[in-house]
Amino acid sequence: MPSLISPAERDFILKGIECNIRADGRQRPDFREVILETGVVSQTSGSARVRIAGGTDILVSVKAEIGPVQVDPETGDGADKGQIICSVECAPSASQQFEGRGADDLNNELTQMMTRILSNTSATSSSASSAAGINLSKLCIIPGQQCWILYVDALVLDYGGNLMDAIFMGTRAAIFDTRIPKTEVQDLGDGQFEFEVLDDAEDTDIVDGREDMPICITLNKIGARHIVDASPLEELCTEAKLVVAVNRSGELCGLQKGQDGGIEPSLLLEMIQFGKTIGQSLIKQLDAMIKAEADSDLGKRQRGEPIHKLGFFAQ
Amino acid sequence: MTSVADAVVPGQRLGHVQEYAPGAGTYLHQDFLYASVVGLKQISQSSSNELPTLSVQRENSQSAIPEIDAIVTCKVVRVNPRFASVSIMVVDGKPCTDDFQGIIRVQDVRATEKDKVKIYNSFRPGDIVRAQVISLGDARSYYLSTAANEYGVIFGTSVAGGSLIPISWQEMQCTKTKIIELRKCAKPM
Amino acid sequence: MDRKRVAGPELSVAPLVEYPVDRKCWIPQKDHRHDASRQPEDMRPIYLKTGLINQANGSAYIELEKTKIACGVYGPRSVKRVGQGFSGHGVLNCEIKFATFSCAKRRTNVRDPQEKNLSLIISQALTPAVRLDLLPKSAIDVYITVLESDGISSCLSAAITAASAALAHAGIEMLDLVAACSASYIPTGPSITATESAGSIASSPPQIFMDADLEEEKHEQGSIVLAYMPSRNEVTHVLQSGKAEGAIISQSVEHCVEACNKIYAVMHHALLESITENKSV
Repeated sequence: MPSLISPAERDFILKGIECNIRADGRQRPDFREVILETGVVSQTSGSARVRIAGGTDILVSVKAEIGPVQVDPETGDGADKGQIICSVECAPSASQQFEGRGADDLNNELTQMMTRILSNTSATSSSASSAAGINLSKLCIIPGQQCWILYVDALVLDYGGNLMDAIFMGTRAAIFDTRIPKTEVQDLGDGQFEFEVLDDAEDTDIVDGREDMPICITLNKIGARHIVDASPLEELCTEAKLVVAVNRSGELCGLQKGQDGGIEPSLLLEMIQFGKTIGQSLIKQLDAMIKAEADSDLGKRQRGEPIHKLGFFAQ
Repeated sequence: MTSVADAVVPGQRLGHVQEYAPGAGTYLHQDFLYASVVGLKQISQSSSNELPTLSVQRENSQSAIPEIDAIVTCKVVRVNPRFASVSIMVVDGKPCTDDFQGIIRVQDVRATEKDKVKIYNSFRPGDIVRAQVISLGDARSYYLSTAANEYGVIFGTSVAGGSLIPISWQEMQCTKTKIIELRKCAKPM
Repeated sequence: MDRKRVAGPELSVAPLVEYPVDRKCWIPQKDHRHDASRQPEDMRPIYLKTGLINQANGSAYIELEKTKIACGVYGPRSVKRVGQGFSGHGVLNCEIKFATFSCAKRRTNVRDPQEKNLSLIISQALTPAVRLDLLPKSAIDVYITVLESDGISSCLSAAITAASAALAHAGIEMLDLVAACSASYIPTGPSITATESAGSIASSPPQIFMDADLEEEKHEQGSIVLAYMPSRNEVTHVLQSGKAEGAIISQSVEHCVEACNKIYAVMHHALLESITENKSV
């Protein structure tokens, strides 16, 4: 992960973007090739690995655990809802700068952004879904007592720019891959409940509302133009970046500016619109990728063939 | 005279570049002059064939920060054979709210016979020194120089505790015990 | 067995708290806000004053009814944090701290991740306005203390406004003042008049309430915070959470820009007032 850029290099990138041609031959709205794979870690409820050609490699795992429900002491909300807890960690092996406490600030920024977009439960009590689209009330086992907690952990294995988008692509895929065991609740009378977790690997629940999970698109404003999927060097030239979270139906689920530059209001609105369009088409591509992989896995399983995964760091 | 009507805040448009020349406390953006500090607007005409300079007199002056060529007054904190560490307290006659760190390297103590300079015979901890900033230095300290007649120790105390008065450019005498100590003295002004 | 301890029951159950029925007395309705005297596009009245902290180089205090924030600016001074290399331009450090008694839930004394993140957002919102290129090797420290919070979004926007006024008060060279403003999208049930005329309109678009307070924030579907430099016409920060249609977003951005212009007038007035006061002393 480079931290400095020479004026000549900056100028080269800036002028290139002005002419709609980037250092690796892409145009402004072009993404790099994305490799997506699900079910890569056996210990998890669901996992996915995303690699953006050119460097970024991210592993997202979802672990479902049973825990007590969180009730808001003021409003009494949340008694019938499960939870999603997010975290992002940059592995020290990914870059020298992540060593020790070096990645703390970045980890915190990414974690907070992810939490804001995925588990923002400030939605009205009438709609049970979070901004991320996931139906949290389906994750509740015994109202007021026990629920499923989904721990979404993203691990950055390699850095090649555009971390946020890759993390969200991975999270969406990992949630698609997640299987939650079924539970059986018994009423013992006088308000007492007991439940049993069924350990049938074939008969499991999927996460309800997973199709409505958003992904995010990071737009980098360089000069007067903006680009998507920036490389590390392009990120160093970025004056201001805008993270736009969008779901399948084109609704915006979050918006955040980063970096130390300003944007004119008209350009801001244009960038939001642009991010929305790009995001929707990217979701379509990702869904097709996930479906193709699931279909081929299912076919192999039916034929009794072994399923080979590409594995980590595969190009 | 200035009045409250001339008060401006950052971002306020002051005039066109063809009317005024930008002065302190203003900046130029797309052919227009804008204020960059809170204060009173002032227009001064230096000569008739030049544009009048428009500047903003700060209301609440910001604390001084050292810059290259500034003359600073500092206190020696510690010495070692290669340099003397000082903390900068005054920049160009303006006090700093917070001390800045600086060093005077052995080669910057005087202009001649640099190889014969010994830090220990030039500065002692506790001395007050007038010096010039020669570089912004490294991440930690500014680099200062005393290589001119008017720069050097301006105030110091002897081993016995009396104050020192300069008797030559490299000697100072204690007022109490009359013992002579070695310093790089500043020329009294 | 330890006889000194009181043996608790083997099984413990979380207490069932009964909430009073009139707890949620305010139900969002079109054109009807929690504070009945406000219209949807109205902000709370702002009180802004500079120069209340003596020791700081610059300071500001802001009050929007129940949101109260104090801000002090120190610097430019030498960079305290070791490990940062030499840099040709200055650094702007912002730190926001919620007082332990500021929110419904008690806050801890140590900085939590949310505070760290808000600090980052505030420094990102202010950096475009400060002329850091004029302050090589120096740092400006901005400390913000939230004394009373009435909704996180409005707290964040008030903090940005106050910090920018404090920076200007400290005499630090800036390109422009930064004004910030928040808005919430609140789904409104069919209003009384509407129910009478036409059965149900449940899917009406959410209403944009400017500068929502805590009670309104509890009902919100999403919110937006926008920081804006009025005379440069530049957005320095935008933060949106929750789900919303594109049209709502562009509408609320416009509303916020408009509101920021009004806040700018308040800031302008407060800073000029500080000059007049100095003159009369």
